[in-house]
This record gives sequence, structure tokens and C-alpha cells, in this order.
Amino acid sequence: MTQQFDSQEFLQDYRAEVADHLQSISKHLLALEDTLKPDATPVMILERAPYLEGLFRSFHTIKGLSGMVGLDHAAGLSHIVESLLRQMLKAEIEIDSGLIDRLLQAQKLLQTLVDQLDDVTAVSNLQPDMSALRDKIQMEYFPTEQEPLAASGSEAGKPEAAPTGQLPIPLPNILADHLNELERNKIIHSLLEGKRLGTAIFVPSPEKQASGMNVSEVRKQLQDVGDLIKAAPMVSGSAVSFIFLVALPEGVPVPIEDVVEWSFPNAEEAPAKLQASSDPRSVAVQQPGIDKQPAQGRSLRSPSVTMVRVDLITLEEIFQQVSELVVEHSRLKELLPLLKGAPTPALDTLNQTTNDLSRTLKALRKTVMSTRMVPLADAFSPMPLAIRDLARGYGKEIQLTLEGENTQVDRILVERLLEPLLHLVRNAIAHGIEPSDQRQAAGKPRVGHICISGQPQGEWIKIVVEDDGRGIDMAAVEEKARKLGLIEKGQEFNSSDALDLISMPGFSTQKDVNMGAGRGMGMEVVMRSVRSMHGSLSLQTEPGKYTRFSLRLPLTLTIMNVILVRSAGETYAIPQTAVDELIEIEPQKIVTVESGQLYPYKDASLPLIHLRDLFQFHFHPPQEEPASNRGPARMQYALINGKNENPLALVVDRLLGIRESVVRTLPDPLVAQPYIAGATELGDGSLVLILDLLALLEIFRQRRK
Amino acid sequence: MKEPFILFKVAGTTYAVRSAQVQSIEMMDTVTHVPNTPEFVEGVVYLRGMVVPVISLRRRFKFDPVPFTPRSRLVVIQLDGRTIGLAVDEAREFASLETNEIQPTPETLVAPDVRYLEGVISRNNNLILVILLPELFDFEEKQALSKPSA
Repeated sequence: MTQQFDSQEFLQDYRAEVADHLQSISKHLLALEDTLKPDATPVMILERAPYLEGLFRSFHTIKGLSGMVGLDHAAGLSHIVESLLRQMLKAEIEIDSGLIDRLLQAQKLLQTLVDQLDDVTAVSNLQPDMSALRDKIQMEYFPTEQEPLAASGSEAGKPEAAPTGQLPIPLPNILADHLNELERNKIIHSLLEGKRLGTAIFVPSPEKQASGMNVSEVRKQLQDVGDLIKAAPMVSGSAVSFIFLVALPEGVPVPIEDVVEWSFPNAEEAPAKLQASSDPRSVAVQQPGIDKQPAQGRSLRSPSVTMVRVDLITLEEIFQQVSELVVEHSRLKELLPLLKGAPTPALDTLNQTTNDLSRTLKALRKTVMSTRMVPLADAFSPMPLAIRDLARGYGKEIQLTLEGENTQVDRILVERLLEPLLHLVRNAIAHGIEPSDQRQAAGKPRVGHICISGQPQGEWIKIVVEDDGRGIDMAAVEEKARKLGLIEKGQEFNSSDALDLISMPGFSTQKDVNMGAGRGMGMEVVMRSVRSMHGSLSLQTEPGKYTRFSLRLPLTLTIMNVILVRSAGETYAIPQTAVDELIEIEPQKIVTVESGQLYPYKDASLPLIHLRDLFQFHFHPPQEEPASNRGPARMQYALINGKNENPLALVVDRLLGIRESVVRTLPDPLVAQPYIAGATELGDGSLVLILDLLALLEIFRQRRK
Repeated sequence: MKEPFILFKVAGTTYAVRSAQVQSIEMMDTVTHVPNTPEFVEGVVYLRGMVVPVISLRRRFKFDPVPFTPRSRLVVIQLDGRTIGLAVDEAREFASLETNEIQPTPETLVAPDVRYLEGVISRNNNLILVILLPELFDFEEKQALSKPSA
């Protein structure tokens, strides 16, 4: 057990990566399930291959990762599922709903594992379940074999004997008709390894020849980045062109796009498109060809060419660098007037260039800011699977509608929205929607309906989760509240109190505790996370008709530019808006008087306040800077705040830079202070306190009195 | 009745808290000091999108503070809807303890500022002090905790 703690760091990485794969698994499984419906078209059945390949890859990766962190049961389970998928890919097993259920069960167990990874007991409690499922799959699908997969690891990468005749992906006849056994094996091998198979058509031309792009150069460049599986000449009329079949490793950009024409027969866009569709039911009838997106108009390029994944740290760096550019630009603008007397034409050009720079910078800032924003669909995408599972668990029939998924919101918001949304959906299914027979008896459609929608309202977004179930029984809420003594005798029950009441920990009118919801904790979590996002929650309900929860959240979380400074060995952030000017302190200009220090600034003098004198730390005495840094020669800086009536200069030891930061609140009273506006995390996960300059100066003034 | 506990050490002594009250156990990361806070507040850390206050149990138990080591852990607890990190010297064990066997704290140890001790339990000839989390903060500290949040 102690091992678990020591590998904590690995576990975090494991969690993140596996969670990604589980999400893609759930998408692929739902898409696959849709191809089983009676109204599925033959085209859709042919479209199964990419889903199966995606699933294969994900389980394969999870297997490897689980083995690495010592979660052997998870590795074992993924291993057998992977073998199952290999059989499905080779069409050796009939795909039916029972099979999909097994895969979903595996997905769910792994999801539970990832969710509870911090809890060592929970993890070990999951082990028997995972083994049981593995054995079940073994019994059902590999009854004759002792070890179906004969072996883990080493075998996984090995190409299977090629299924003769059939290829898992459609290829142009010119290639497909002339493949030998070895080439077929290579294709399957590449797919199993998660490579992208593409065909590149090269049409020679004098221009291309002139730039050195002839057939052998193209061949060479393709071989440099991927595996060249097959090349064939194509003749039409008198023109000769060449077609190449190439396997590109995942993540490798498509090479020489300007020279050859690429197409990707097993491109992954199909599942991505399906995911974008709002209604899980409508997925079934939507064919890739008639997608709403203007896909046909575009070239055959895979979207992975136009979409790039960038990690957050890189993005943060870009934000920071843009902010620095802005600062440097403003310094440039300040310096320009100093050039008075320079030759006019030169000065005009310089001014013009600086203005152009301003415009470009402004545009750049806007573009960079927009990379923070992601579509709301990212928060909605796990809902179809969650609802499907819960509906099954409660034996209810439910249809889901998603609206407004294209609204752009801060990615942090999406991250934090997931949990409250899941709780609300759980409540809706567990308590809201009635069983089908009851619904029918009440004259309602048998299938319950849940609608999750997002509507932008200025700087806010309103997210509504509504079900057409039985509504919340206000009388029961009142009765329970009176019983618990939450409403005093004689006090009237106000229905607007209901939301507060049901959001209290442990408050539930349900008699039984059941799997998804009902422990009365859900609403408390919702309330807490909505508050943490500086949003609000409201409730409307009508007995027998509907329950509607509305979340009102800011589109962006508070982001501000802060100046990072260092004082007495600690780093602090100060909102840039609170600072009018930064100056270097020349020690010889400081005038010391009885009540403090004064410093000449413009035509007046400013009182100097040393940040190091304002704070008391009990843990370690304020660190003195090394002696070599002290003495009269040492430079200090002052942040001037002249906006309030009594301008002041705050003295710090060093300026570290300016950065754009997300403000996190310090809600706990143990650490809350009036002059701490919040904290922001630096790239390395450490926190820096954001100081409220005005509140700080207020303290200083009070101390003077 | 057996209940799961998390065991941790502070200044050589083993303590136990009910694992139901523990949200997670984390490696010690950089703690950002917060000025002008109660003496036992070590500072704040960033945990999964949240700013969590850190309390030094060494300080709380009136031991000399020592620098963090690779064995130091942050026991993250839930207390009245708050999330608080307890900095401990090490936390490596889960144990299922028989709550009936918890002996009352010896008279001589009972003092106003050790009300946080629910009692003592002996396990493999070692004494474990069982902590009553809500009482971990004495009267003034509780006041500090319950003052309206900003």
C-alpha cells in the first residue's frame, strides 16, 4: 500500500491519460452501438472499422499504462477487451449488443478506477470486479482457449495473419487489387499500431520538377516520415501520375502537402462528427456525407491537419509572451517623444510603424485570448453516455436533447462544469423522470426527456438542465424541513427556500438510497461548484410537469494582468490596473523624516511604503537579501498608485515581470485577508498571492493613526 | 465496530483520523506563505483548481517545526464543508481499528488544548492517538474558522 503513495505522481499522469482514452472509448462505443440499430444503413455498418480501431488503440494504451503503474487487474481486463476487439476487427466475432455491453462494463469499471485512484481501499475493492469481468469475457468469447491472447505485451504489436481478400479500410482499386500478402500485413499492422493510412497522389509537372520535386524525391520524403507500403503508377490518357500508400505515425504532420494530394480512407473524423450531433438518436440517421458541417466542400484533408493539440503550458507561455510584448510596446511608445528634434521624415515613419504595431498587437491579443475559449460541447460530450448508463440502471427510458453546444466558454469553466452537470442529470434520472408506465398512466409520453442547454447572455452563460418528470414535491420538502427543525414553528415556508434546503448536505426527501443519486449530497456539490465559479443557481419546478435547474455562470473566469514582484524573499502579484507607473528608486533621493520616507515624484513627493514592513510571517523571519545586494547601491523599485486621493509608492525588492493570470479565490477564513485579492498559480503548480493594493495602503494608513 | 483510519506521524507519535473525513493524501508541494495568519497556518497550496489552506500539525501540537522531507505528506480533510490540508511528517498506512477499543485519554493529558484527542488505542504494542477532527481547533481557532468568509 505504501507503494501507492510513492507512485502518486505517476498515478496523476496515469489518471489524466486514461481518462482521455475512456472518453474516446465511450464516444466510439455509442457510435458503434448505433450501427446495430435496425434502421442502420449498410453504409453505417461499413463505417464500424474506424470505431473499432479507435477502441482497440485506447484499450491497448490503457493496458500498457496500467501495467506500468502496477494496476495489474486493469491491465488484465484491458488485455482481454483488446483481444476481443482484435477479433471484431477481423470480423471473427459477430458484433451484438451483448458484446457492446461487455465493453461498456469494462469502460465503466476503468472509469470508476480512475475516479477513485486516490482511495487505496476503493482501488483494491475494484479488483475482484475487474477479474470477474475478465473471466466472464473469457468464458463467453474464448471458451476453448486457456489464454486467449496467448500473451500480453510482445504479442500485441505482432501482425495477425491477414484476413485474405478483405481490407479493414477502403482503398482505391489501383492499390487494393495489387496488394501482396506482405503489404496487406503491413496495412493491418499499421492500423493496429494506431497509424494513419493515407494515399498521396503525385502528378508531375514542370514547375514541381524545377523545384526538385520528382517521383524519387517524393518517395524519399514520404519514407522519411512514415512507412511507404505501396507505390503504383497511374496512367490516364497520356499523363502519368503516381499513387503512394503511406502509414503515418500518430501525431506526425502530413508531409509535402503542397506537392501531393492526400486522402485518408480511415480518417478519424467520422466519430468526431457524430459526437457533435446533439441527439444520440439522431446519430443513427446521420450519415457522414450529409453532415451539417460543410465537409464536402472542403478537400479530403483530415481535420487533424487543421486542428493542432497544444498543451496548456505552451498556451500559458504564449499568453505570457503576448503580455510582455504589450508592455514592451508601451515602453517604446513612451520613449518616442524623447526623439523630439530628430529628422521629421524618420520620426514620422517611426511613429507610423509604432501605430501599426499597436494594431497588430491588439489583434494578436484578441486571437490569443480566443484560444482560451472552447465550445460548450466539451462539457456536454460525456452526457449521452452517462445518461444512457443511468437510464439503464434505473430502468427508465430517456431521450436527451443538447442545445447551444457551440457557445464558446472559458476552458476552465468547462472543466468545472462537468461535475455539477453530472449531478443534475443524475438527480433528474433518479428522482425526476418517472418509470414509463407511470408516465403513460399520467398521460405523458413514455420516454422521458432531458434537455441540457446553454445560452450566452452577454458576459454570462445560462446553462439549463430540465426534465419533464414529476417535479419536486414542495410539500415533502417542507415536511422534511419542519421535521428537521430547519423551519421554525409559525414560520411560513417559502418555495424559494426549497433550493437552499435541498442543497443542504444530507437533505433528501427520498426514502431509499440508490446508486446514482439520493444520498442528498448531489445538490450540495452543485451549489458549491456553482459558487466557486462565481455563478448562481436557481430552481423552477411544477409538480407532475418539470424540474428546471438554471446555472448562471461568467463566460470567462476572472483573468487579469498582474505584475510579479519580490519582497523579503516572497513573490507577490499585484494587479496591473492598480499600478500607474513603475519607477526605479534612487536611494540618494530618499528623504527620511520622522514618520517615514518621502520620494520626489514628478512635481510632488510620495510617501514610500516598504512591502516588507507590512507583512508579518511567523514561520520564517523575512529573509534578507544577500549582503552583496544590500547597501546604498542596491536598486529597488516602486509601484506608483496615483489614482486615489493620496498617491503612494510601494517599494519592492525586485520586479519579475507581467503575466496574465487566472484569479483563484482564497475562500477559507483561515487564510482570507482583506488585502489578498486571491491567488494565481504559476506554471509549476505553486501559488502566488495577489495583493489588493488599495486595501494594503488602507492598512498602512490605519497603522499610522 | 471496526472503522477505517488513516495513520500518520507527527514528531515521532502516531495519530489516526477516520478515513471518511480524509479526501486525499498528497505529496508536499511548495507551500505559499500567507502573512498575518494564525501561527499554525503554514500557508496555501494549489490542489486541482482549488486554493487549500495548510495547517502545520507540528505547530498545532506545539512541536518545533522542521523542514519538509520527501516523506512529508499533506492529509487533505473535509471539515464542515471546508477543505483543509494537514501537514504531517509521514502518512503511509491505512488501518482498520476497533472503535470500542479506543481508551479515553489519560486524565493527566486532559487539558483544554488537547480536546482534539478522542482517545488512545494500542496496536501491535504501539500507541496510536485518535484525533477528533472538529476539535482539532480550540476555541479561538474555531472562532477564526467560523468568522464569516470574505
